[in-house]
Amino acid sequence: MRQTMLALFLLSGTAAAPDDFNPVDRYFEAVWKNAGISFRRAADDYEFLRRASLDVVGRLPKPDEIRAFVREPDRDRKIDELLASDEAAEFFADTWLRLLLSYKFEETLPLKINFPAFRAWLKDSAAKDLPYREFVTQLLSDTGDYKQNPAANFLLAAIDPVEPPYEITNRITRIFLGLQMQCARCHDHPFDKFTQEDFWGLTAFFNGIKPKARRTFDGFGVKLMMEPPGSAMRIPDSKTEVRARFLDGRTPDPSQPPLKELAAYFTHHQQFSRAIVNRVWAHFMGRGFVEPVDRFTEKSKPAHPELLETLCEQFERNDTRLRPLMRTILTSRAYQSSCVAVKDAPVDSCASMSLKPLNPVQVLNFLSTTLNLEVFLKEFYRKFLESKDLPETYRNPEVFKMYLHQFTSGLLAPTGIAPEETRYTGSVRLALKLMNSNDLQGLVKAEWGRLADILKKDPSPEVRLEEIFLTLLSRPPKAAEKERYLAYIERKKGGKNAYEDIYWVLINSTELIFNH
Amino acid sequence: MTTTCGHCASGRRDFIKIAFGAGAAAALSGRFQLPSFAASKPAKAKAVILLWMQGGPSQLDTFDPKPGAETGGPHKAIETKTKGLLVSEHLPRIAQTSDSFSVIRTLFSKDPNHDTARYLLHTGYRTDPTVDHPHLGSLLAAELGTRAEGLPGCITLGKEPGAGSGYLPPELSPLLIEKIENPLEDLKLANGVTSFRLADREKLLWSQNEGFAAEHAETSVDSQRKAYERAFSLMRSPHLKAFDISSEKDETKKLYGNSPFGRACLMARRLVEVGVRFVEVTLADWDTHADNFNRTKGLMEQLDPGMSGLLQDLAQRGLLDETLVVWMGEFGRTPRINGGNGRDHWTRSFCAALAGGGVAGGRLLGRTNPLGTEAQDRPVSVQDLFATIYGQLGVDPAKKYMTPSGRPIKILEGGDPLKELLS
Repeated sequence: MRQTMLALFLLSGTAAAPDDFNPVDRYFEAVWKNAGISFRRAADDYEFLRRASLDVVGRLPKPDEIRAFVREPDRDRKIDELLASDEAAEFFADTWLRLLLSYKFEETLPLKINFPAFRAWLKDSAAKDLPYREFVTQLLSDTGDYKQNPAANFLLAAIDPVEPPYEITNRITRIFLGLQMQCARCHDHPFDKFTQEDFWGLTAFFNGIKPKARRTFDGFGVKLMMEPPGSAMRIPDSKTEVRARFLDGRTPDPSQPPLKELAAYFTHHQQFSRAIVNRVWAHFMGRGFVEPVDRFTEKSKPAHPELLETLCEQFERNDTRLRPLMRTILTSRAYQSSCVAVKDAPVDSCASMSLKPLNPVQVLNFLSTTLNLEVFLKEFYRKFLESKDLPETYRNPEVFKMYLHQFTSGLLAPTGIAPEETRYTGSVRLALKLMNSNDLQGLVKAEWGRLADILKKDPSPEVRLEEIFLTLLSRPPKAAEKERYLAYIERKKGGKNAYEDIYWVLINSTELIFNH
Repeated sequence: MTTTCGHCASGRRDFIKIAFGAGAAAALSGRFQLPSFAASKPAKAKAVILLWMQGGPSQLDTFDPKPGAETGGPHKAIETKTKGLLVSEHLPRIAQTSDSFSVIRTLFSKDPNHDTARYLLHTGYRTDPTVDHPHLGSLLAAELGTRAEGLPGCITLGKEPGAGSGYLPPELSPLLIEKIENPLEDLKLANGVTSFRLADREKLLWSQNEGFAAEHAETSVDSQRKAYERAFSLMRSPHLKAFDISSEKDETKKLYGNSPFGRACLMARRLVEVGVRFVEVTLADWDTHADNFNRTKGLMEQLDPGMSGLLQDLAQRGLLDETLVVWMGEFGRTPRINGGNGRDHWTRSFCAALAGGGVAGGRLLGRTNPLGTEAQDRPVSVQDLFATIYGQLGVDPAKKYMTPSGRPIKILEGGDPLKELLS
């Protein structure tokens, strides 16, 4: 009965949805109605701005931005502004750098790849909203000099000097198709359809791939080469020879460059759009249609399969550009729901927003904006650039930033594997650092720190308290909070210590470590 | 020899269990221990100290030298107290204490990559996209509990641990002490903060969090609260002085040598003394693709006093019988010396050493050929090594845990204890 109603509802398309053109709204209006969810809370303007800022530009909104926005809360305009901003491209570059390098920064990587060129290319791709199909094609098939063809750095990073190029196969199937094939490296996959020959058939496309270091007119360079290209290879520890072949058993056209053929196969695979739509959805909604985001299997049952397909179709109609997809999600009522759980609503119903723990990039950014960390880091950065112990290829802001992200991911998880890959379980190390580190406490107290700025601007405890709240929690204090903290300030006779204590409390608060 | 592929070890067989037991498993929804019917044996050891040689230590330049062979390199070999065991000339004190430990020379794996091999040698499993396995120390802490109030059961000194708490609860995660020279860096109150002021702050913090938790009843919020509770109890632990090696007598400090590794070994002894189950001490930089011989010499100058000092000190205090000391790295290094006077990754036969905790001293297991290129007898798998460790601590490796996704998984898949080394 319910299902028939749902079908009728979807067919009729006459829902009282606020935006008939938003397929997410159209879909969930029906889901909510069907589940008998009549009351949902929308995120207020403060919540919305904090959420969208963290998700799109990777940082907390600044107090001035918050005040301007709540005066004139045009959400659609804000979304467009954020999506088109330079900071959004920066955040995309940071996020994808970590994803494409398998979330880890090996200390020898700056010797293997050209970080500045690679990051600049990622940023540029985001800034001009390069069609994702083109983006992936370049990552999969660009070879040559790592500065002139910066996308080649992706393959360069995954090459091992001794091992056959199977790590490339692991990464490209996981990242671009959402498939996990690594088990098939050693044996036919027990749960999935992949055989060992499937795995090595893909790997054979990269047979002969190697980096070639050389002198260039401006010093030193690396070239990604194929020597000899795409020949047959033997599966290690076996006698089986495999030739380059696609997962469906077809072989590439021998008259074409093998990597171009492979890229064309990947970017037209039925998983191609699903994998990226699922990843983008999970980024914004805190939970993918399929979880974990890069583990589609034969048996996986996506939540809301119809919506996933609708978004994929729309994505392809938009020439596989990411920005319209993000816009659709960001402007939807599901995205703009309050985080407060709706009673009796199923987890998957998106009737309320999921809590998302901050990732390492966001943690570094929050420390920067709330503690003026940049000023503190300037000195380190200068030393880093001038260090004679480091080879030339390390001394650039991109590598420095990767070190910082490495540091924050270590704070978030004991093994340095950060929450985007695994569930967030709280971190004692982060807690101890935020509570007791003399460096961070020094930043709270510093003359040039954010708190000192706030205290200089206005003597009134109320104004100061509001500014501290806007800086750290992106909202003004609630009545009870105001009462509690004003009483505290009074008890401490309005001294600087009292404000430092409040700053400390909010930096360590649960509310800060989540995007809600 | 078994031929299980570690990362899918519980593949087809467990598929059946999942198919038939899934309903029940899902209903339990937590991480539940399944009953085990194998009787566990009484424990010999109560704690483990892992001396982790990060980067892959060269077996030919430490515990399996090949003097005179073309693969041997310039280090000389010296006799030890153990019949048939030669070690590098740069391990003179270790040679003198060889009656307290046994050496395995034919350990093998199939994993030549640092990250995944490190995971394998810390969990007994290969990396698996469908499940996170716990650190050996987290598992021991889960099985045996902790005896030191406020301190976690598993502590790693110096380097990020090779695995996390995996499918076990986060409170069993290894605690990383980053700086050996300043171990309490983030455990002590920041400058200018008194314990009274901390009490004020803490009170305000719990009130602040209460409001958020009331509206967001998700497990991750609860995890965050628990992480702070653990951080506070750690800061207030009566055992923090175990991290302070300055109170040790000079002669004891001298025993361990003047190096960060030596000091970390001494700290490990103090931690085990107050009841920590598992301490990992890292000596890094064994990845000697270039300049192998100068670098291994430098590393052995730290290793020799650190390890021998630890074994002597534990023995003098009567702690060696109940403390299992394990020396290992993620793999060994090629017998072939490369163009840069270095050695590359080698997984076919490499060394590990075990001492104390009921393991006999002065024994040798496995032998490699004169060039060090082949194991001649008794290949030992990583699972065999882990089965030995679990066995000595009275942990039944066949016991199953339930992963968060409702899949039963054994503490260890395969592997037989190395009976030849047990006293």
